Amino acid sequence: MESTVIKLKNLSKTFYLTKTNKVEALKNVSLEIKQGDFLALMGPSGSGKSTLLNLVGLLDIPDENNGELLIDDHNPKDLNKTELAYLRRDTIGFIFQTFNLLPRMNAWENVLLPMRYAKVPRKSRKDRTKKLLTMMNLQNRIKHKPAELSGGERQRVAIARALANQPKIILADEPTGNLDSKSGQDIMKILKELNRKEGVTMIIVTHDQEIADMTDYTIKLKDGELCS
Amino acid sequence: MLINENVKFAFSSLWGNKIRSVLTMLGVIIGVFSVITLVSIGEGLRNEFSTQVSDIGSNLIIVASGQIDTESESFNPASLLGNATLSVDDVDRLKEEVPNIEKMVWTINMPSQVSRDDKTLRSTINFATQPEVLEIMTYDLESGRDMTYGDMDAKARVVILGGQVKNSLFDEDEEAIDQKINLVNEEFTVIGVMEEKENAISFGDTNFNNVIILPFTTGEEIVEDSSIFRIILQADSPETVDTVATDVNNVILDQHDQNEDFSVLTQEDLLDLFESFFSILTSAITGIAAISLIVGGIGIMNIMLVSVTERTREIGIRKSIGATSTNILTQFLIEAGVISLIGGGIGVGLAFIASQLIAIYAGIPATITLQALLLGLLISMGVGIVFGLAPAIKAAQKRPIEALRYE
Ligand SMILES: Nc1ncnc2c1ncn2[C@@H]1O[C@H](COP(=O)(O)OP(=O)(O)O)[C@@H](O)[C@H]1O
Ligand SMILES: [Mg+2]
Repeated sequence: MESTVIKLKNLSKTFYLTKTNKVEALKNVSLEIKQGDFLALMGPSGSGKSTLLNLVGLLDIPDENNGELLIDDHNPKDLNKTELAYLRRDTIGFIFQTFNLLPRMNAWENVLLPMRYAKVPRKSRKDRTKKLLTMMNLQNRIKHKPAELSGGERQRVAIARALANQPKIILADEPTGNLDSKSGQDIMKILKELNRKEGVTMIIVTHDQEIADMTDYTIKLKDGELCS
Repeated sequence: MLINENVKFAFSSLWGNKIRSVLTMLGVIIGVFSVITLVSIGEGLRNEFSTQVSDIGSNLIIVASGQIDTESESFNPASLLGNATLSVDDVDRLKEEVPNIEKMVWTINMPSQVSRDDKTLRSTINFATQPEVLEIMTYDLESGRDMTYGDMDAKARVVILGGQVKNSLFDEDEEAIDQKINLVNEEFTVIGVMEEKENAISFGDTNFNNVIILPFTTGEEIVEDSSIFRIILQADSPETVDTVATDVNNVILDQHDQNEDFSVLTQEDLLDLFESFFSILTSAITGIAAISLIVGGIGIMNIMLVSVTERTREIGIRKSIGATSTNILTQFLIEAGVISLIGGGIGVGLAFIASQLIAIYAGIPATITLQALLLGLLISMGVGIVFGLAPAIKAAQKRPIEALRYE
């Protein structure tokens, strides 16, 4: 029986530009995502896709109303800043459109860093870094800094980093947006395989229908609301 | 373990921005450098001085004309050059009334001009006194003979030269003994030359390398005035120095109708006098240190604040992969600590070089103690951490989403 890992109930997010000028980026969104789901999140630009992902990824906090958010059975409202950081570190892996690797660290160090924060013992984190980079077919790029890698390679380093602490959930915000279609397809194949083999739950934001077609199902946002 | 990684990363970000790093460190480098150099000079002078004070004979008491206040913080060297207010009557009463005096000499100041052939010296210290003076001051003769009571009785025109005076008036291998020199328009015969002591300190104000000594009676006859400039006494043991000094003071005070126009100094007083000098020096150093370290610290804070803003995105990325606020705080604190510690290290290194140069070229045996070194490093690291705290807190408090969105 598959269990629910992400649950949103009447969740809203409002940005206040000034006291009176506000943007309702998400309006009463309710959603349940099960462990092992592999889905695409689509919608026009500005529809609230990134906002939703950031809430799920515990990078941002939802409006204080009667809405509810549960991540792996934890309610972020009940956690302090440090506990939030721990939950984020241990449960969630991010993949960004712009890769967001640390430019002064090489591939190896970038992948290793989340495990340092998680206090993974030296030997295990080395082994895992090596395994992940090999899995991403980057064993010959270990010492390369991000600037010395192609877009596809950078995104593979980012995927390896996202996997470092064996997260239950991977949140990918337009992971193929900065890549040519061939590299984009490759990245999608890797993500799909991870989902199939390791059962990682994946939400992939995209506005490319071809990418969305590679996932198991698609949910759509429009003006901050879910449309079915 | 994260410390290790943070230090490594701190080095790499310093290395990645060398010029800025050096500029950031500059304040701390200068601060630590000046503190340690000044402390080492002070320390060197102090050591040098106390060995020299104990070198100039033992159990000495000096009575000088004029007031020298050793209790007060301020010390005016000019007071040492006061008018001669002492007289032979004072000496006579001391001889009669004060017990435990081992030896005593008293001096008349002579005009300081001396010449030989075409050489003229104007800065020697010329005085007339008794034959025991060299014994009391523990100076030996390098050549010739000591002054005798025979010379005194004969009011002989003879002189003993300080080592430096001899070198100025005579060539290096030239024999000075039995040569004539001209003093106060009279011809004198050199009978002895004193050994030259390195860095001879002046007890009171007299550098014995730079003296010309003649018999008391001779001096008395020439200047037609028997005002006494100094009385130098030696107590018979270390235990009696203080009582002798007190007795001397009381007797002369009585003789001078309670008029305190003279000073009685022991070697102890002399040390106190210079200690008070050094304590002023020390406060000045502390002040300079504090100011330059604050300036250095502000420099670090300034650059760290800029760096935190520039690295907002890095902070966001780190938080998105699981860094806690504490992780970020530690990272930036360590970075500030590393910058200032390196600055401190460079400062200590430069101070070490400077102290060697000072020792060689200025003859001050500046010594860097291990304490000063550790203190310098510790202080610089402290400065880094204290002034790095505000930027580090700013970094730690960044909200992950805003940091990530930062362009
Ligand atoms: N920090 C913010 N401040 C103000 N408005 C924001 C902020 N973030 C997003 N928005 C607004 O919220 C809406 C949804 O944005 P976003 O979730 O980024 O859209 P998408 O990712 O679907 O393109 C947009 O109108 C955007 O302008
Ligand atoms: Mg977006």
